[in-house]
Amino acid sequence: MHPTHPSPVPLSANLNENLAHLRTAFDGSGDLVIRSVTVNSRAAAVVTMEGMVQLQMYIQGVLRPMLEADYVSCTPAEQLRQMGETVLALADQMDVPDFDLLERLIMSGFCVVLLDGVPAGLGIGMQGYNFRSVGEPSGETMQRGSREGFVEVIRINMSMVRRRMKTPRLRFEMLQVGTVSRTDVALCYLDGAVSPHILGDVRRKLQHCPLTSVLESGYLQPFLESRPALFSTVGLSERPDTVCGKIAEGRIAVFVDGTPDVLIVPCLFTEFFQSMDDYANRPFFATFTRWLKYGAFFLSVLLPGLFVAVGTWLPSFFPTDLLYRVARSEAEQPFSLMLQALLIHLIYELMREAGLRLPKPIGHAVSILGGLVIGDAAVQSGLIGAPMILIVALTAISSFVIPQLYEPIAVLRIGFILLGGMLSVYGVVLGFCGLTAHLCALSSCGIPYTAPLSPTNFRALRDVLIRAGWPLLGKRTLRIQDLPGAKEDDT
Amino acid sequence: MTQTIRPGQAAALLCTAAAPTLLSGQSTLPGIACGTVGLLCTAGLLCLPPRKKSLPRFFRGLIAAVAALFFLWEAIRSAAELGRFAAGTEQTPSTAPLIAAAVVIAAVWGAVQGVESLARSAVLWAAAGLLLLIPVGAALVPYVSIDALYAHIRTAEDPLWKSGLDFLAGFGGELALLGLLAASVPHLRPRHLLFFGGIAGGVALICTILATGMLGSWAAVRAEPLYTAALSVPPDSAFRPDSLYTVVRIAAHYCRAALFLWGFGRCLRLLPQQGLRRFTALAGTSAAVIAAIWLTLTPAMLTSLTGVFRVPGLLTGLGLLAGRRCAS
Repeated sequence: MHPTHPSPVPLSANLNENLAHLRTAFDGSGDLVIRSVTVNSRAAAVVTMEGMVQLQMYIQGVLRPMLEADYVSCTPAEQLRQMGETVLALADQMDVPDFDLLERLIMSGFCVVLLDGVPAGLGIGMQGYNFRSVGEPSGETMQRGSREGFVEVIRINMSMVRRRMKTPRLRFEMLQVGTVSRTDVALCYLDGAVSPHILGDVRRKLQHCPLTSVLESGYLQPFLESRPALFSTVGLSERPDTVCGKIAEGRIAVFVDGTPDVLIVPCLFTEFFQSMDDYANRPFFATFTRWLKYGAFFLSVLLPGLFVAVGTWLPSFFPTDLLYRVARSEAEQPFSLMLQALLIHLIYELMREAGLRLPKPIGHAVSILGGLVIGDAAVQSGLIGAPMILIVALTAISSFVIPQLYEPIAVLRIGFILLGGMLSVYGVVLGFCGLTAHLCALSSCGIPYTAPLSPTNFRALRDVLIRAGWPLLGKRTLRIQDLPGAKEDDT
Repeated sequence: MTQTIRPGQAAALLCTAAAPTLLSGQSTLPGIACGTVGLLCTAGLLCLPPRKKSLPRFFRGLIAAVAALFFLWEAIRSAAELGRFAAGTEQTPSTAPLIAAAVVIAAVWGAVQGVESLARSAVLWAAAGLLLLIPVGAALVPYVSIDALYAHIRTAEDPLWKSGLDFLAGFGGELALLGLLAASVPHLRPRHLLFFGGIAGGVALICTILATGMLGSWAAVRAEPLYTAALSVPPDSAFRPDSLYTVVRIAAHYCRAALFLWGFGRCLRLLPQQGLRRFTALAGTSAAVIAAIWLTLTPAMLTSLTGVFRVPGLLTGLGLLAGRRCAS
């Protein structure tokens, strides 16, 4: 079931009727501005929304020329055409045949000129609303490369991509999603590289999205995912260079007006371990950091669970010296290792959440307080053992290496602690097997989530297990179309 | 669903499922070599193109029912064996029945995810298992005694054919599964199995040789040879091959149990009503949990039942060979 859009109401030739319809539609809304004027002895009106247009351009570029011009034509329709062609010398113009488009334009920073006797209007783009300037995205900082990040305005974001990919094959398809918010959404892809089957699927999903309001790209994310899962099968990026790289491989970027986060589909599990820095650094170092990230993932998910499992059930697995130290430390604690691990992780997550939402100066204070509480007071008070603090610290640092996976990691970690505490190493390994089966069952737009590891694509592995040098990568980059599931007959 | 499984993935899946049997050392060293050849020949037979004529509905139903019971049994056996293994390695053996139950529950989750997911996972597990076995093997090499190995081969008690057949019989479940998969996976060819089976068999053979060379006595090798050998490394060492071996073994048992439960579910497709299928699946898995706990607590029963169930295992494999699409 999806919302049905009523057919648009056409504009009338009678100006008063048009204005009455607009006033009724907006029902006395305070920001609707209708400037009535007389042009060449004909009644006219300029409709805008307050705060959405540049005031100076509105006066100097529209009102004044409109009022001061000499019109040679006689019919109203010719006069409106003359206005657009010779009087109002503004670049972004379009005909407005119906109220639906008129309302959308004025709410997007256009002004619309209506002339009595013409059943159409003239839309003029003069966006003048405030928006954040282009800056470096805080979540995806890089050592080398561009410092530009996306902003909240969709058109600026689109231009950033266009500037980097100067090919006519780069396409933007505009959609409107949300029956009330009517948010602008742009599908961006590289014609010839994208899989038509996936493109059609994504387009259909967005067109049939039943939401009334889309205020953030996260609203659309679940509609692009094949099924609810712990791991996201939709990628996110705030970097134009990252998005361009993905588009070149045949992926589709979904821009949503009002958010700097661009959705990317299909998204594979191995992509969370790749970053733009990998391609700027030398291959051997990029390969090293990539393996570091793989290791960090396993550490952050499994380490607390394994420590609890071994410490509780198989202490003989510790080397003797370490065993004595751990045993001495644990003998002084009132809680079992599993409870300690759960407690310290919950405290850590509380501190992190508090620091995240508070203003920066207070957030720092929370961090210091958290460091003292977790690092010192908990040990001194005898609630938690020192080895456990070390494990949590190592786990927390590891999880920050792959920030995009933080959410599933935080939940899985708790699960593995419980499994390790109750079922020993067997529980942890069985849990990990179940997790692998879950990951392998996922797909992103029909492409197996674990590709190219399994199903294996050896050609693609040179950018997964290692980061080969550009001479090798440049010969044939990964194309989504080459992966199983990208073609219609694969599914 | 199974249409998207690649032949290599199916082969890797079967080899991972067969890993517990390959690594447990249930036969003599020459017998393993002889049995491996027999195993690959049988696998090749099962992968021949399916016959056009299928069996009558009654026989298909009968074979599917036997196969369903057998698959369920194999899943239970896998869980119980891991439970017994845990009972021997854990500091608190009382948790072993819980571990056996957990294996069945985790395997149900894996089976529900589908064979496609299991096949993809198996490739990852097989690769990780091989990678883990390399450091295990490397750590054990200094402890291998060539003299002990020669002594064992000279004094092998069983005749070659008997131990070979014994080894082959241990794979009744895997062969039945192969019949089921071969009917579902297009383009599955004997060469795929030869390739992957050769790798798996070779690794198992090398592991057994290492273990035999270290332990010398065949009696010690018969049960968990690699694990027993891994214990030769001093416990004070920071590197513990036995822990890595344990991880490989748990994953392999899980894969095996999940695959057999999936096979059990496939066989239930012949049941006429969906409600009945669901009820049977639920009853079967619940029974599997209880049986796995019981068999973990009564190891003698596990051993005796293993012998009994090898015969229908092979019969099922032959039945599937005769009418390959019967259970699918």
